[in-house]
Amino acid sequence: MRYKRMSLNDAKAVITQYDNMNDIEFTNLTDHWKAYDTIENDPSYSEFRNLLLETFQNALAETDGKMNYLLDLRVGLCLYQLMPLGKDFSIISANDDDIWRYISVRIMPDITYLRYPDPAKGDIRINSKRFYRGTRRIWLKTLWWYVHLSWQGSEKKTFDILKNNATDNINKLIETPGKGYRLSLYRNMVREYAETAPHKAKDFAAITKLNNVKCMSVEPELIAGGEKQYVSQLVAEVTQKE
Amino acid sequence: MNNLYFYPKLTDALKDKCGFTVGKYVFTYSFQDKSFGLKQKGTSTIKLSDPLEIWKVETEGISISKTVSIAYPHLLFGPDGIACTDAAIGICIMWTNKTLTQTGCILPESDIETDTGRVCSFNYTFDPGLVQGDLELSVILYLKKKADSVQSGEEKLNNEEGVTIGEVETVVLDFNSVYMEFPIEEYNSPNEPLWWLYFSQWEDPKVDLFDRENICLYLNPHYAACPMVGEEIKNFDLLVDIMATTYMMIFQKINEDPEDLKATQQNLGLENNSICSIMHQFIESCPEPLHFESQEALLKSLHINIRKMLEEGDDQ
Repeated sequence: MRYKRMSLNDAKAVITQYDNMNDIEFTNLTDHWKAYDTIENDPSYSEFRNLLLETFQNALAETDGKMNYLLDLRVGLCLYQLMPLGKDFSIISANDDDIWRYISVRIMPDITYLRYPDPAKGDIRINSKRFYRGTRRIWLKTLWWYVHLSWQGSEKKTFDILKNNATDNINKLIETPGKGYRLSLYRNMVREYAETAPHKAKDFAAITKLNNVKCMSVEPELIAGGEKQYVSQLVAEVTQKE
Repeated sequence: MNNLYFYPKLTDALKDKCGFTVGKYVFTYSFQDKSFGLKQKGTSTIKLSDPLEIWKVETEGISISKTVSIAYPHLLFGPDGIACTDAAIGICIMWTNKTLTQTGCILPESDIETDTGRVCSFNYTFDPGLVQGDLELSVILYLKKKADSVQSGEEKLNNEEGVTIGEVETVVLDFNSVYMEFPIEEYNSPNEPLWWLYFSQWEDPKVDLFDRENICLYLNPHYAACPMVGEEIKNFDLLVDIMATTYMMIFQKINEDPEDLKATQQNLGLENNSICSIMHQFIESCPEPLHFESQEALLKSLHINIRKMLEEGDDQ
């Protein structure tokens, strides 16, 4: 699949158009979105959209209509399967906000709006950060990265270790990279967290913070026992303090 | 605080005493199953070019090789060294790709210790699609194996495995990343001044991107004194002056919320390629410390640093 791109300015222009609508026009637009009608269609993304939409609708049935973490996880796992790393999609592409802006603003505005219907501080009608503006907040991008950083080799195994988490885990994992993401360390950390459950709500934030502090002087891969030993000590250190 | 440690680390004096020899990096790439060399310019910041004009790091990736040797490695151990006598020291290259927010370490392909010293050879390939913008490579020493027994006089030494106990060398490869390029526009008009700075209404400089939309330096080539036209620097001293004032104004604007300036200095919660993140990179890349204690001290230190940085760029 050839991924299309949308610049920050182009995305902003589209969102500004929505923001400038009067109440009737905006209600009309969101009514369309609530019916999963995006008005504009891009045939090259038809299959992509249909599969993601089906996952979203199934997840919504599973959560009894609630827009919650389970829905995020289902959509994230589907997205990761639809956009696998390979010849067409690299880590560079996964970091390219323009690719995610095109998907969020042009292909999946309906589900992005339904997940985040409320404008954030400074927004008018549309949650700009979740649609196009925040490089670590664009909703669909964060879900792809959450699954990527947690991937355990298969969709089922990944779902199993992530199913008991909450939305805050997504934010904390994505937004506390320290010097940078260490892919295998993150995957080990997420697995260890799942295997040592149950945890208190704030544990994951404490673990990611402590990890950043430790990584300033220790390289987890280089300790005796490697990353597995490191994450086991890390999680124990946080949970034993309580 | 980043440089505060509670145990001895490798110093320049110890490095000299131990006889460190750090070979130059060799950078290559593969194209149609053949390997080609890349030319390099610069010392601490390296710019790479391909005589065949095929290579882009995004599409061809990059291979690095390097040799580090230590003539007297035993001097690193004991009360006057950085590790306990019974410990083992490892050598690796830490890499960080800030543009894509990723980091990792490269272990030596071979690590040979003989009567004439220790030699570590590194060979590593970043595949296409994995790195973009920049790559920082730091050769570091770390405690590979802790000492089972700490001898007298060695109590102050670090004895925790995986901990960095010295930095031998750090270089940054600049692949023309976003943050290395300051947004500058030419605006030819008799009705405008020689130069001016544009700021958008920043909402949060920790998030807002360091790009033309949020910050832009305008130079007006209508005036003969215009310091730069296209890529050509016509008035070096004036350019230094303008750039120093520009950076000063950016720091002042960030400091409208002092917490933002603190976050910039300490790299706390900064989004990738945000204004504060790029300014943090700038602070880090300055050859001399920036003095934030007063405005006049900051401006003076900005002048000194920008002159050095531009001169280094010129030499390259």
